[in-house]
Amino acid sequence: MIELRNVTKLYGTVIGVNDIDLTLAPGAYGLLGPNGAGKTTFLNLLTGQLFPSLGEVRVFGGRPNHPQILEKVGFCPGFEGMYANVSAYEWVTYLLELQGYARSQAKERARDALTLVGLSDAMHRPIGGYSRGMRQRAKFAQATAHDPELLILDEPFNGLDPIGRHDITMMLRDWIRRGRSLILSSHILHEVEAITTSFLLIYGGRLLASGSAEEVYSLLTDVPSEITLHCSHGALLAQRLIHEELVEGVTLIGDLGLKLATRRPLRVYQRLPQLCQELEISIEEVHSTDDSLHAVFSTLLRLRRGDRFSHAASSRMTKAVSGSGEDR
Amino acid sequence: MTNPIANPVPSLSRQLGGAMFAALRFEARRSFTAPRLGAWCLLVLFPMTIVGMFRLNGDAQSTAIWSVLLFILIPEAANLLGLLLWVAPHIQSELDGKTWPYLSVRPYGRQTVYFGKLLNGVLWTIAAGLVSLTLCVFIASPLMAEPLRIWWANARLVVLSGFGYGTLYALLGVIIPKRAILIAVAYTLIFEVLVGMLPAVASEATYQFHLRCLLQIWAGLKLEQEQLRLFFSEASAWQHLAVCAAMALVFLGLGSRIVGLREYSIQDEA
Repeated sequence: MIELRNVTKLYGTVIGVNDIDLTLAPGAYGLLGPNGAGKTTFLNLLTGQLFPSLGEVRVFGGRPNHPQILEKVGFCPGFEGMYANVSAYEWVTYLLELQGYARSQAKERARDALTLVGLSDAMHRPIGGYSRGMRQRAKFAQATAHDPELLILDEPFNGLDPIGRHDITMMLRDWIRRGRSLILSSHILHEVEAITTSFLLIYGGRLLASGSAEEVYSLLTDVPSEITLHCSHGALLAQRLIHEELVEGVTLIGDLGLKLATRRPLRVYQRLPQLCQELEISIEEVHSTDDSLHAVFSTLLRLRRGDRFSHAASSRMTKAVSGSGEDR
Repeated sequence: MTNPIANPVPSLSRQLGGAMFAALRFEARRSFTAPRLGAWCLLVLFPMTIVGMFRLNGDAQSTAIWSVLLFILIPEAANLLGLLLWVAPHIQSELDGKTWPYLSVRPYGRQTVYFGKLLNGVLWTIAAGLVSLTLCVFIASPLMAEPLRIWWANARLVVLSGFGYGTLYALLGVIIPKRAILIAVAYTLIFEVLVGMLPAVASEATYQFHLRCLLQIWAGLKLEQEQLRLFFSEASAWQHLAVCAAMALVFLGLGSRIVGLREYSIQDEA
């Protein structure tokens, strides 16, 4: 369905996406990455709004901005950008006419699509008076009204309340159940996990990994966990942890801070209370940074660069990423 | 998700024509706002105010003077102002409103929106020009020897100027969407005003040259002074019309090509 061959997008000297090599079969994919990771650039390349500085993008075997390809794609940008003084019905009808439908068919489809997203009562009201959730539904309706084969959504949950999120999640699940393809970008893991189990992880413009959640997390098994402590005698505690070979690395942060890198975090957590007693030190705060998606991305980026970690992890990383696997 | 209506796409020309008309209709419907109607009224009133002052003075003028005065006020001033407001920023307005991505991911969406918005802006401008011209001639008719001739000559020039400068400004707006109005003003001052008034071959590449030659022919202006002939040509009205049409087609073609190929990104993140 989608092929990217060594695609790089530059904005002057700033890299939007960097050397992405990827093949995606039809299906549902979550594009995960923190803000500024390059998700929007990636999606704009797929919809033909941006052209790669290097490499080639193919969607359904053709150029993304080719009219026949655009007939098969529905796109929902991350920002709102709708005409405030126009009703959702007029707007979706207009976009369907641009899609190539006759006015009567466009009206019928617009009505159906807006009814399906729950805007049957509000569809004739100006969009300017809609709530955020209603605008999101209208955006979803315009993207799906022409029944595309591939739906591309950029941060569809942004700004939605829990009910709105639930509704959009249900709509997307239904979309997938009907055998349609989907690429959904988000910076929140659980939002994507609720819809699909296939992830594309992007960070710093690079595609770091792809696959299921299990496959991505398996990459991290050989990677040391990071534990940050605030305690009364950091140097003493560090000395003891190194002596007992519980940590791979220690960084002292000021007088009281300590950052530990360990492959046996559970053993460290078990041992810490005993060491506190033995060394008569007090720990004020323990924080594991590895729970956050950001930490996963940082770790994957370091893995990709080949920093510090074992060769085994780097090898698995190369398998998981459908790319060159090496920095260029 | 929707009823399984077969994808229409009957033919490319029908699809494009329908989409273009849809863009025009949508833009026209969206244009009826108080600010735009206010600007439209100002465009109508501004030439009328000046002609009204002439009327108050009560001096009867020749057909030539009235024709030139109305030509400068309406096809060359009011029309350009309207087009600067409604055509030059046609792409930028979609980029500013962040509506461009919805339009550009439609098959031929970029081109149909380009044509639709251009046509809408041109029609608003021509409408203002024709209304203003009609009212100006009505106000000044007691002082005019041939009011109908003056009206008819300038009415055709209003239409030509609307389409001609419209395609030019639309092209500039496609090439440099940011500050499109500023660029169009600079272009008009340098090329259409300065170069267009040069008694040289270069002036023939401007709309202004051909429009004023058409005015001379249609209003029956006599070039009695030898120096004046340097600013006009011996070509027929049809030749001038053909050159105007060719220029408009070139600008349209270029604009439509560029709008299809150009990146207009609205970046929330890099």
